[in-house]
Amino acid sequence: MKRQLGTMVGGAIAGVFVFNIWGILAGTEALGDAGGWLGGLLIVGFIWTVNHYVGVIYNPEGSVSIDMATAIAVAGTMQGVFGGLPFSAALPTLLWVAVGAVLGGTFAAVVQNAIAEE
Amino acid sequence: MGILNIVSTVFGAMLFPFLILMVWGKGVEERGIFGGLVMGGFIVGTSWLANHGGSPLIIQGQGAPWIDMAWAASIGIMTHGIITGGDFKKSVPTLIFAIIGGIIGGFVLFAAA
Repeated sequence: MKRQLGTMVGGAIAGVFVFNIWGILAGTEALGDAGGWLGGLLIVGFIWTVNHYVGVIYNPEGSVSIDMATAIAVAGTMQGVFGGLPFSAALPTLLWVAVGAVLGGTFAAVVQNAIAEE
Repeated sequence: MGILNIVSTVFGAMLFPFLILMVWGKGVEERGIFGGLVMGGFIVGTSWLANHGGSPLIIQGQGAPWIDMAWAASIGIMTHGIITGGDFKKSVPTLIFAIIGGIIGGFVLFAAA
């Protein structure tokens, strides 16, 4: 249970950091699109050390890894839902993102396997 | 969504978990915490430019809540874990608490905006 407190708190912080700070970086005129790139390093790089390098999000040995991206994804979508936007309007994008994600995860498993066999 | 939007959305969602799974672990293996930080910057920063930058690959719905490329990372990494023989049952509590954390985060973001 204490480990899952970490999952919940670490996930919530990741979601808030990504969507509260990224807009500042990406919206900075002096930086332009480079500001958006910096978000990867300053926000995700940092919160990754907390959630996955230190292990605040609990991923037991032998389990399917649950990435902090799960909490970040839910936070970004729920921000809009709490603001009154209809979840159904996001479903087409979410469906095709899921299709692409399954492909990406599968391709990575296949290619890693092939590299390991050499 | 038209077929062109579907193609770019699927491709954008494919590349992000693929890059994470192929490279991030290698960065950590070779340079520990610092390698993870640097890989995080390159993978997430560059994928963000492709997926959510000036000409985004992931097409958002009109008047819809935001679908972040994090959805792709989340689903893609779970898919990879299942394919490579991970025990999904052991992951269910973490999945549930990660979603609760995300809902709390979403509410805080709504409250701040």
